[in-house]
Amino acid sequence: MERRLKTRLLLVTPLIGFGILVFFLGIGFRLGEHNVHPSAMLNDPFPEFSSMSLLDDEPITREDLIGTFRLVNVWASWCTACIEEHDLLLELARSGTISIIGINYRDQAEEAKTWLYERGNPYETVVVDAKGEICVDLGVYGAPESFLVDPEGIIRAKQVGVLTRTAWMEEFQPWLEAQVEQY
Amino acid sequence: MLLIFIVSFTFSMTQSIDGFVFEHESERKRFGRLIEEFRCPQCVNTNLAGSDAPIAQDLRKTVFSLIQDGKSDQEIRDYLRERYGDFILFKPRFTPGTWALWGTPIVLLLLATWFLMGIREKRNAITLDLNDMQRVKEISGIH
Repeated sequence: MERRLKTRLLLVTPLIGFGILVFFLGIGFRLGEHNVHPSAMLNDPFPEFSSMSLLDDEPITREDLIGTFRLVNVWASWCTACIEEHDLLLELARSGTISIIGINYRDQAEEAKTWLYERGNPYETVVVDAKGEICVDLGVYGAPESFLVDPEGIIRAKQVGVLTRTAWMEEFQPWLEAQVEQY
Repeated sequence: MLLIFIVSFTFSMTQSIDGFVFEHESERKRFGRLIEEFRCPQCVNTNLAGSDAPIAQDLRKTVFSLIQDGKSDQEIRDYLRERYGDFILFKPRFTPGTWALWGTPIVLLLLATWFLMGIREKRNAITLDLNDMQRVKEISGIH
């Protein structure tokens, strides 16, 4: 009798193993994209930098960036995905929703200027990062990438890849609205 | 022959990887080891050494300059992890979130050992049973 019970237990072992596998895969799939690119820099201060402004060659540092809510957007003229989010950025800038600072990532100054001239410029200032050093300090994966920075210079939200309307509405805007009331 | 000698000599002189020039052979080795240790953030299953993505190039540069600044391996790991998260480490740290990852093989090994020992014991028990039967047969004279 006991032996039969053991045989049965042995038979269901693969089934139990499969169950455990499904359980962990379930957790893994549910975590989704978000955990693929963990927000390492979230709630950390925006890193120090010192560079030039693309449009007027003036020196620019972290100090020029803080003091108000900013959307910091990493882009480049070679970046095709950046075109996808460009309309949204223009809309946000024109409606006065938020001040947008561009970080021109590994780009040629002339090509970047032409790109802005042809497509419209949503940026209040564009920081030149020709060598990608600021971006490494920011933990950037590649262009495009966007950060919501509060008046104290703390990173509050982050979007790796195209800033879609959904991402803006669901993650950036609610946080911004809640905070603006406080200030 | 002379040509081969000259070529190999120049190679050993420059001690460079991919445009990076090192003063010491040990630094070059450290660089090579470190860039194999980190995952390229953009390409999921490639390390920094094997990727041509812009970000991998930048991070190789970063690792190079951190070595030049005299940073230790651990300091370089921490620097990259602070910015890119655990994602960048091919060898995960031991944290509350990863205990299952590190612990599972040990637990499985213990379970397998326990299981195998169980089987052996049972086999011994059966052998004993047969020996006993033999003795019973011998003593009783029944075949």
